[in-house]
Parts: sequence; C-alpha cells; structure tokens
Amino acid sequence: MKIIISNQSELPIYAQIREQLKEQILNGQILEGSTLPSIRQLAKEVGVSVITTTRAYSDLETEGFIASMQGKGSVVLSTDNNLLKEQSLMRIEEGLTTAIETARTMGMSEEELLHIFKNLLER
Amino acid sequence: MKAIHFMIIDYIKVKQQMYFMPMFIVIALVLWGNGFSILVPFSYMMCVSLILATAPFGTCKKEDAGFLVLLPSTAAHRVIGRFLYGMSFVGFAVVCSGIFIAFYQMMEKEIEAWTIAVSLYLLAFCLLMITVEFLILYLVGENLAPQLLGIVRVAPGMGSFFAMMYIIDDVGAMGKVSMARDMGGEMTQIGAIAVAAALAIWVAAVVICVKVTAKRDYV
Amino acid sequence: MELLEVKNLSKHYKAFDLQNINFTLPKGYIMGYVGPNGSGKSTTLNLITNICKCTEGEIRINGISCEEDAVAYKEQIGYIGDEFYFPNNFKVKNIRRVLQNFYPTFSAKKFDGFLQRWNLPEKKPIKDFSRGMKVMLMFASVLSRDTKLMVLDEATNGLDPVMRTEILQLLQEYVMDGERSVIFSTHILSDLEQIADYIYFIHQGRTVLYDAKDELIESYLLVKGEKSAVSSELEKALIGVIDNAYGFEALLSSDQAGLLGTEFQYEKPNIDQIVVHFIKDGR
Repeated sequence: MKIIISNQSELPIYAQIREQLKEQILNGQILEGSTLPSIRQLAKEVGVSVITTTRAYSDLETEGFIASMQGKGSVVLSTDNNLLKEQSLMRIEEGLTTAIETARTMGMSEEELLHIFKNLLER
Repeated sequence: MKAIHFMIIDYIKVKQQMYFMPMFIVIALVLWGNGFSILVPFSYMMCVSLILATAPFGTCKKEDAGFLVLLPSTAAHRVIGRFLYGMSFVGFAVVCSGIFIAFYQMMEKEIEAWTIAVSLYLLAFCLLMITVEFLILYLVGENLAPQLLGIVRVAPGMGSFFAMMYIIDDVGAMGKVSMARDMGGEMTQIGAIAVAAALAIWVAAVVICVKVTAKRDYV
Repeated sequence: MELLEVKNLSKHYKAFDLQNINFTLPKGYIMGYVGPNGSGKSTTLNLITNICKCTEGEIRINGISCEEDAVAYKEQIGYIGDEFYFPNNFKVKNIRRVLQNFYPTFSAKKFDGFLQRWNLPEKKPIKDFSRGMKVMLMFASVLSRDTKLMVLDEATNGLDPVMRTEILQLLQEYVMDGERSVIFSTHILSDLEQIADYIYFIHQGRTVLYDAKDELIESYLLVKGEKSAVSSELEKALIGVIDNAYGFEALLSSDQAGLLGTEFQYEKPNIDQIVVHFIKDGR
C-alpha cells in the first residue's frame, strides 16, 4: 500500500487518500480480504489529521470498497460485489446514453453509431 | 503528604543557600565560646532561621508555575508545604539550642531557669516574626521589587538579632537578673503560653494564605 | 465522548479581556488553538491548566472540574509551556524525584528511556540546556506518566524543522489509542495544517472561527482578481480584502461561489490564509 499526499493538488487530502486507495484496490495491489491500517494508524503514518482519514475511509465504505468489521478493522471487499457492479453499470449506461443522444441530435444512423462503438472496442 | 513533598521542593530550590548552614552553626559556637550568654547563640540561630525560612520566596518565578502549580495538588498543599518549610528552620534552631544546652550540662554548668524562660520568649517572638513575614510575602510579595523583597526577607531577622543582643546586655547590666531569677517558674509558664499563642497565630496565617492563594494566578 | 469541555470561559485583566470561549474536544483528537500574538492563546491554556483562575466559566476534563477535585484534574494534564518551567537550579535527578513524589503513574524507567532517546545529559545543569533540549526534557517529564490531555503552549517555537516534525509525530502517537487528546497553541500554522483535527481561532480575546479543519478549509475560497471587476454584492461577501497595485486577494465563503465570474481566480486556501484574511477583516 502506498499513499502520497501532495499539497499542490487541487483535491483535498481526504480525497487524495480515497482515490489512491481506490486505485490500488481496483488494480489488485491491495488484495481483497486484506485489512487496511486503522484510521488512527494511517493518520499518524501519513501525517494528516484523524478526521481526514476518517472521511476517506467512510467514503470508501459508502462506495462499497471496504467494510468496517468489529474487532477486525477495515476490510477490503471484493471489487465484483453487487453494489460496485450496480454503480459501474450506472456509469456505463450514463456514458452510452450521452453518446446516443449526441448521435441522435446529429442525425446519425444506428449502423454508424454501432460502427464507432465496435471500432472503439477493438482499440 | 503532598505538602511535605512541596516542602522538599523548596529545599531543592534553595539548596545553594543551605550550604551555608554549617558555617552559621560554627559562628554560633564561636559566639558562645567567647563567653556570651547561651542566649546569644540562640538568638543568632533564630536570626539565621528567619532569613533562610523565607528564601524560596526570592526564587519564585512566574514560569515555574507551569511545573509547580500543575503538580497534582490544591493551593492548600502548596501553601502548607511552604509554611512547613519555614517552620522546619525554627525547629532546627530549637534542636540546635537543645544540643547547646545538653553540652552545657555535660560541662556541668548550671542553666538558670530564667534563661529557659527568655529562650521561650525568643522562640515565640521568632514564630511571630516568621508568621508576619509569610503573611506579607504571600499577600503582597508578588508585587514587590526584588530589592524590596530582599529587605522584607532579611531585615526582620537581622533586626531581631541586634535587638536581642541589646536586651540581653541590658538585662545583665541593670541587674534585673536577680529579679528574673526570683520569678523563674512563673516566667517559664508565661513563655510556654506565648509559644502556644504564636503557634495558634501561625495556623491562622496558614488558613488566610490558603484562602488568598486559591484565587490567585501563578501560585 | 468529550475529553475537554470549555464553557463560557472568561478572564478579565486590566488591559485585556478573554471573552466567552466555548468548545469541546472529543477523545482522540488534536485541536490547534490559533491566533496572533497577544490574542489570548496562552491565557486560555493557563486557565485550562489552572495556572490562572478564570473570572467566569467552567472547564472539565473527562467530566472532572478543578474545583471539584484538583488532584484528579491535574493528574490528567501533561503541559508543555512556551517557557522552560523547571526551577533554575534543578537537576535532572531532582525533576525525576519530584515527579515520582507527585505522580502515581510516573515511570522512572520510561523517563530515563526518553532521556537516552533524546540525548539529554543527566549531569549538565538544566539551565544550560539548549532550547531544543529544554523542550524535550519537558516532553520526557510528561510522556513518562499517564495523562489524558496534552496542553502545549507554543511548544514548537524556536525549534528547527527536524525537531518540529518529531514533535508532531509524538502528538499523533499520543492520540493514537483514541483515548487521549491534544490542544496546542501556535502561530506557526504550517504545524497545524496537517495534523490538527479542529481549529479554534481567537483574536483580541474573542472567538473568530471554530470548526473541524477540513470543514474550515472547504468552507472558504481564496479569490484573486481585479478590484474593478468586483460587483457590490460580491464586495459585501468578500472577507478581509487585501489590495495590491495590480489586484486584490480575499476570502469568500464557498456557498457564495456563484457570485464569481470568470474574471476571478480562486483556489483552496490554507489555514494561514484563512487566518490572515479574518484578522484583516477584523470580525
């Protein structure tokens, strides 16, 4: 696990922690089922306030990346659990809907749109 | 117990001045050896006690409060500790005097009853002085300039000593010794009462100083 | 659970009044007590440690007030002063002895451990210690016993950056178990920027801001731009406008960001900037 805080970043510190942890969970650097350091441990190691790390963890919890378990601390959940899937699905639908709407306003045909889609997939 | 611990702190704070203690005892012995009445070394020891008893007031600094006032304690612990510290010097002077007397007797010299009586007056007077000094130092001490504080601390002890020398001389010269000798027993009783009264006043002063310091900053 | 509760705290002096300070500090958190010199930071901390007595108000540590039980109250406090508070002629062994006499939880072994860790010489007179050594000796005396609230009055003043960082780490270690809290005053705000959970900001004896640090930083924007472009509505909303020859800089409450046009630049302020603009504003 690796966390680097930048004071130059536009993102607030809690968001930097959240995003870096999310990335490492998604790309498998932090394994499913492993325990994250406690909120206070992390605050001390990174040198930020406890409230900041608390916020990063609670964000990760609501987004379904981790769950806090009594006596075990914060455990990394499987990235293919339902909540995450649903969220990802929603984001995909949103993106595609925008694409379709743009295509329609341009008067693009279905075939043309599918063609673009297939081309993009093959990239 | 906490008061005793504060007394110990005062001792540590003024330990440099304690190193002079043996010298004072030697001077007392020399005075005595020169043929003065035993009352002279007594009053000398009392004078020294009076000055040393107030020494911690001279070392008080506002910054020290961060350590001393924060020690888990009440104002009473701190004030009583300081008073006990002061009292310990009077106690020391009394013990020294006792040792002088013991030596006196070992040399088979007679100690007249009136000497004991005058010693008691001396003790009562000394207690009273210490009480007044502590009251002054606690009530207005923090507002005094260092030089003035020095005078308040040293003057009573010195003054008492010279006054005593004068009185002792006077008593001897005017031949009142025989009169004093006649009423020796009564005089000792009055002396004892005087000491008891001085002690009572001392206790009252402790109570007053505790009340006052409880509301004060930095003490 | 609140560790430190301060209610309606006031202290009147002839030339200065500390007025109506109110806050709570939960267990396991760090509060930065901020303000310019002479704003009443030390006064507040002196009232919390009971070195000075308040004119009005109430202070409780773990529910205990000093009036109820001075001994239990003070046993919970570890205080690091802005000045070196051990009597001048004390030696390290005298300090050890006094601590042992007064604190049931004091561990001479721990104390000696800290002396070694920070290279504090036992024999050298403490009045000849360097500023850094003096601060570390105070820390050794506090950390070698069980306390619940660490009170630091400008403790990092006059220390080099290496030492400051070490102290900040010590404080974070101190609150790690979630049972102990720290309140520390400073005007070196970079110290606070990262580790403080809460910020209490006073100016001329009065409360200016009090919030969680993250909230505080997010509630304001630092706006820069040309003075001529400022609408009258925006002008009213700007906090502590500082002009220079080519433009201005001011704070703006985040929920009024809508007033800003594209001609302005804005960014996340740091604590320093928030403090400077609020003092400038004089609110």
